[in-house]
Amino acid sequence: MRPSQQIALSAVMCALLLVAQFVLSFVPGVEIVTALLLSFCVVFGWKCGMLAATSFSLLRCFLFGFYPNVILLYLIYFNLFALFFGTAGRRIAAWVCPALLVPVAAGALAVALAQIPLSASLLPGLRGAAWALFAVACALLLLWGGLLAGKREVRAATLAACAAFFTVFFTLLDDVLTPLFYGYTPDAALGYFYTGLLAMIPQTLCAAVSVVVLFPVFARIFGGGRKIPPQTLDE
Amino acid sequence: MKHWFAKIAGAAGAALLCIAFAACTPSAGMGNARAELLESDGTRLVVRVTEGDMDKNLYDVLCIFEQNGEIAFDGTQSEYGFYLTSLNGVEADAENYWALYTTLGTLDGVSYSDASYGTWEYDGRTLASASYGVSGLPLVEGELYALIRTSVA
Repeated sequence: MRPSQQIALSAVMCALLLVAQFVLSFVPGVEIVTALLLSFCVVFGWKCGMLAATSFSLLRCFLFGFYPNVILLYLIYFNLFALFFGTAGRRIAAWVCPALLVPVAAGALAVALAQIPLSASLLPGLRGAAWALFAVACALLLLWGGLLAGKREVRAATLAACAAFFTVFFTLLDDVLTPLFYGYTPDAALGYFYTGLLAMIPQTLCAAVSVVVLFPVFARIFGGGRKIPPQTLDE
Repeated sequence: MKHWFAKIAGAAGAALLCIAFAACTPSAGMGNARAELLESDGTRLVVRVTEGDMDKNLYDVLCIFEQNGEIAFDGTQSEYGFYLTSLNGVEADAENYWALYTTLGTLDGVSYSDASYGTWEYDGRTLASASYGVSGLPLVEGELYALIRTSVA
């Protein structure tokens, strides 16, 4: 692909990501940035992905404000995201799905059952979200197993598992960067981690569901733009 | 055709599930709790809980007061609960915001306020800076909750 094409594609993708994030910012816990960027990176590769990720991370500040720790978080996370899915997305091994989903499900179950020192007003919602994530992880595992047994394509389920894992990593990275940036005490940093679970669980749930449902659709649309036959994407 | 329909139906179903899940709001009413509005104007709001209910929170109380026409407030919902940006017609801006204080300290191993982040005195009692927003503070009998217009600087 010529550099001018890469730049043009990345610019359009950046605009799409900004609109998608802004429109859904009013609905807590719901986002399609993960599904969109993942599909874009798988189809167009890591260079276009990282261009789009970097420009998105910087330009979103005009909509959501300039916060240095958030800028750093987005630049690190989305570039790693683009690099991973842009290089490994098309040839990711099927065993990666259960390898990632089992710890996600175990983590969700742990959050649902553990005595977390969080506000009594917020704990029921967190536990409900954790159970929902556990259920979705189990459903994805069953879907993966069913597709594998039927010798069908499992890539959407595998990519959904990776997306869920990356979403968990995003919050954990924020749990390190923000306390370091603002100089939190260890107690305050731990409180920030527990409160962060309120965002992590619904976002992970949304990422897993949106990728498994929307990746085949977006990949087909982006693949059409790159003139890649559908059967090639599914290989 | 069936294949595409199934995908679109699945996507719509998932979207509806997510939106329904995200749009859940706290149940109406204060449950078994009772609260008294001590002060309410453009610079402060002070509430005393006379009967507690751990299943309800300060946001539920504010909703009841608003329904009764005693206060007006606005804000946005997020994963962390309700983020209040306007109270009695006074909006938060670049120079001032609505800070939340409470006498509710540590309960059942959970810290609900921290004096090292600020305190506010009312009627001989010291309220500490809340560790949660209005949705995260349960209603405990005898405790005070205050929203104070505070300078960012």
